[in-house]
Amino acid sequence: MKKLFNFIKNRKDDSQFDEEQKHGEEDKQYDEDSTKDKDSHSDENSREAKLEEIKRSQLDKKIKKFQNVLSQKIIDLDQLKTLSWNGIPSTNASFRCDTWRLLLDYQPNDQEIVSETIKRKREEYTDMIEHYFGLIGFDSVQELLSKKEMSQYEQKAMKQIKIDVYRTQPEYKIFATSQVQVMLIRILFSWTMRHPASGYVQGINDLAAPLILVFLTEHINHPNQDNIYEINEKEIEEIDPELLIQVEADTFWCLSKLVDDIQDNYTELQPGVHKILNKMKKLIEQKDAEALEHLNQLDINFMDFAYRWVSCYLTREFNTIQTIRLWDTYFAEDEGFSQFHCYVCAALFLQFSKDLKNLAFQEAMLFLQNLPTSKWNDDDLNILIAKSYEMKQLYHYNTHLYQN
Amino acid sequence: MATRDEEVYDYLFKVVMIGDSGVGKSNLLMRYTKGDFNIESKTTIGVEFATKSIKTQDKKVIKAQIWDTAGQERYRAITNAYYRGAVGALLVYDVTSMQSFQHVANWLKELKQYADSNIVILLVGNKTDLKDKREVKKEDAAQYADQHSLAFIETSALDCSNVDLAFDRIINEIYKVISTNPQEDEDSQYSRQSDKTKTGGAQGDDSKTQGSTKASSVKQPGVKLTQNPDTKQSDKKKKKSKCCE
Ligand SMILES: Nc1nc2c(ncn2[C@@H]2O[C@H](COP(=O)(O)OP(=O)(O)OP(=O)(O)O)[C@@H](O)[C@H]2O)c(=O)[nH]1
Ligand SMILES: [Mg+2]
Repeated sequence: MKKLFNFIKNRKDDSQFDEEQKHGEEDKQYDEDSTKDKDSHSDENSREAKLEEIKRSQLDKKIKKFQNVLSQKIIDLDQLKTLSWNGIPSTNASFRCDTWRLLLDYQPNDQEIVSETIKRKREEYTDMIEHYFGLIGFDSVQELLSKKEMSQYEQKAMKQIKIDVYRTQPEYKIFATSQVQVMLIRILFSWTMRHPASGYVQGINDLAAPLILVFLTEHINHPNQDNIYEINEKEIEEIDPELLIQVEADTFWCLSKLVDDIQDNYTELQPGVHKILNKMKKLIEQKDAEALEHLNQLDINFMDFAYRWVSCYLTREFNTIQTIRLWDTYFAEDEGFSQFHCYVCAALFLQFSKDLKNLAFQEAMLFLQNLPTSKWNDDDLNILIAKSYEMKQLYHYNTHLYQN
Repeated sequence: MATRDEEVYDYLFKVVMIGDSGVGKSNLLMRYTKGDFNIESKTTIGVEFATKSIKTQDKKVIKAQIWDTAGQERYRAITNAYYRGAVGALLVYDVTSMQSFQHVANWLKELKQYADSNIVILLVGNKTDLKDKREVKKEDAAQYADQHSLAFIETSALDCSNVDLAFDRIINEIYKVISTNPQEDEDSQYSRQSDKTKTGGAQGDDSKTQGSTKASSVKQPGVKLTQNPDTKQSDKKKKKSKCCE
C-alpha cells in the first residue's frame, strides 16, 4: 500500500506538490498505526482527530491551488491536469465545472474570451433545439414530444431515448423531474441528429448523466456540503430556466467532445469496445495469467462481464460520486476515455481476481456482474487509479510486452 | 456479493431472454429471481446473468441459468452470441406496443439463425397491468403463437401476474422434452456449455412446442461446485416473493 502512495508521489515530480504528498504519506502512516493497536480508545480518537486535521489542511491547500490556477489570466492546462488528476475538491462547485469544461476543450483557457465564447456556444445550442423542437421551455416530456413532427428515423431514435431517459440515474430523484428529463431528451436527441454514423446508442445516456449533475451543482444555492450531488426536486424548481438551459447546453457540448474521442464504441459492431476488451485481456494475461486461465476454464469471456464496464465507463460499477471522481482523472489524462480507461478496467479486474479463484462458473459470473464496489471509498478508488497508472507506465509505450 | 442459489441440481438449462428494448425483460427476470419490481432498473448493456432453481413434479431439481440480453438493435451482434447452447428462449413483447409485437417475427428469425433449431420458445406479452394502453390483443398473440408453434403467456412484471408461471412453464417444457428422451451420457462435468454435453432429440407431444427438440442440458446429479461447504446449503430454500403467490 505504501509503495503505491510513493508511486503516486513520484508520478508528478512537480516540486510544488511535494508538501502535499508528504502529508499523504503521514496519512497512511497513521492509518497503519491505528490498525496496529486498537486497545487504547482515547489514543485512537486523538489519532483520528489528527488524521482529520491533516486531511483538512491538505484539502485547504488543494483548494488554494485550484483557486490559483483557475484565476490565471491564461490558465495553465498542464498545471490544471496535474491538479485534477488526483481528484477535484467538491467544496467549490465551480472548480469541477470549470475544470471539466476546460479539459474537454469546451471552455477556452484565455479568461478574456471565456464568457463570449461560452455565450456563443450556448446560443448555438438553443438555436439547435429550437430547430429540432420548436419552442424552448421546460414543459413536460409529453408536451415536448407532441410538439414535433418527426421522420421515421427521428421517431425511432426518440422512442429509444425516451425509454432510456426514464431509466437513467434512477438513484437520483432529480432524474425523475420533468426539468431534467426534458433536458436529457433534448441533449440526446440533438446529439443523435448530429451523429448519424452511430445514431443514439444505449449507454450514451449514462455518460450524459454525470455531466448534468456536475453542471447543476453550480446553480444550487445551498448545497448539501456532505454531498453536493444530493440535489432535491425542489432545488431544481428553484433554478432559473435560463440557467437550466445553460446546464443543458454545456452538457451537450461536453458530451459531444467526450464522445468524439470514443466514437467507435458506438458505431456498428462497436470496434472501440472490442479493442479495449482485447487489450484488457492481454494486460491481465501479463499480470495474472492464472486468473485468466481460470476464466478460460470456466468458459467466461470478457464480453460476458466487462462489456458494460468498458462501454459505460464504469458508471454502473461505481456510484455516481465515485464515477465523477474517476472522471476527474480521465479528463486530466490525455486519452483518458480512449486509453487510460482500459488500464482502469484491467486494474479493476485484477483487484478482484483473487476472489474469483475459488468460484465456479455461476458464482464467478454473478460476482463479476455485481462487483462489491459500492462500498468503496476515495482511498480504494485512488489505489485503483494508481495501479492503473502503474500499468500504463509499464505497457503503454511497450506494446511488445503484451502483444505476441 | 451475489446471492447463492441452490447448488444441488439434476439438470442445468440455459435460457435466453430476448425482445425489443423496453418491453420489460430485465424486470421480469428481477421479479422472478429476486421477487421485486425495480423502479430503479437501468437499460441492459450487453448481457445480464441470473439463475434460479425449480423442482419438477417428479422432484427433480432444475437450475436455470438465464441470460437477459440488451434489446437495442445495435447490440444484436453481441447478444446473439448468447443464443448458442440455449435450450429455451423467452421472447418478450410489450402488450402496449404493437411495434414490439410486430418485431417478434424478426426475433424469431434471429433465433432461427443463431440458436439451436430446436430451442423451446415461450412468447411473453408483458405489461398487462397497463390495461388502458393495450395495443396487442391476447387472442391475436395467441393465434400467432399457435401458428409458429410457440408457447404463449401474458405477464406483468409490475403487478407480478404470471411471472413465476412464465419461467416455470418454459423450464417445464424443456424438461418435458429431455426427460422423454433420456441423456445417453451422464456428463458430470460442471458446465454451461451445451456443446460439451450429449444431447438427444425428442418429439415434443405438446402442441405448443411441437417439433423435435434437441435440448442441450447437463445431466448432473449431486453437488458439483467447489464452494466452501459451509455456505452450500445455507440459503437453499429461497423465499418466494409474497405478491407472486
Ligand atoms: N407498467 C409496467 N411497466 C413495466 C413492466 N415491465 C417493465 N416495465 C417498465 O418498462 C421499462 C423497461 O423495462 P426493462 O425491464 O428495463 O426493459 P428491457 O426489456 O430489459 O429493456 P432493455 O434492457 O433496453 O432491452 C421500465 O421503465 C420498467 O419500469 C410491467 O409489467 N408493467
Ligand atoms: Mg433489460
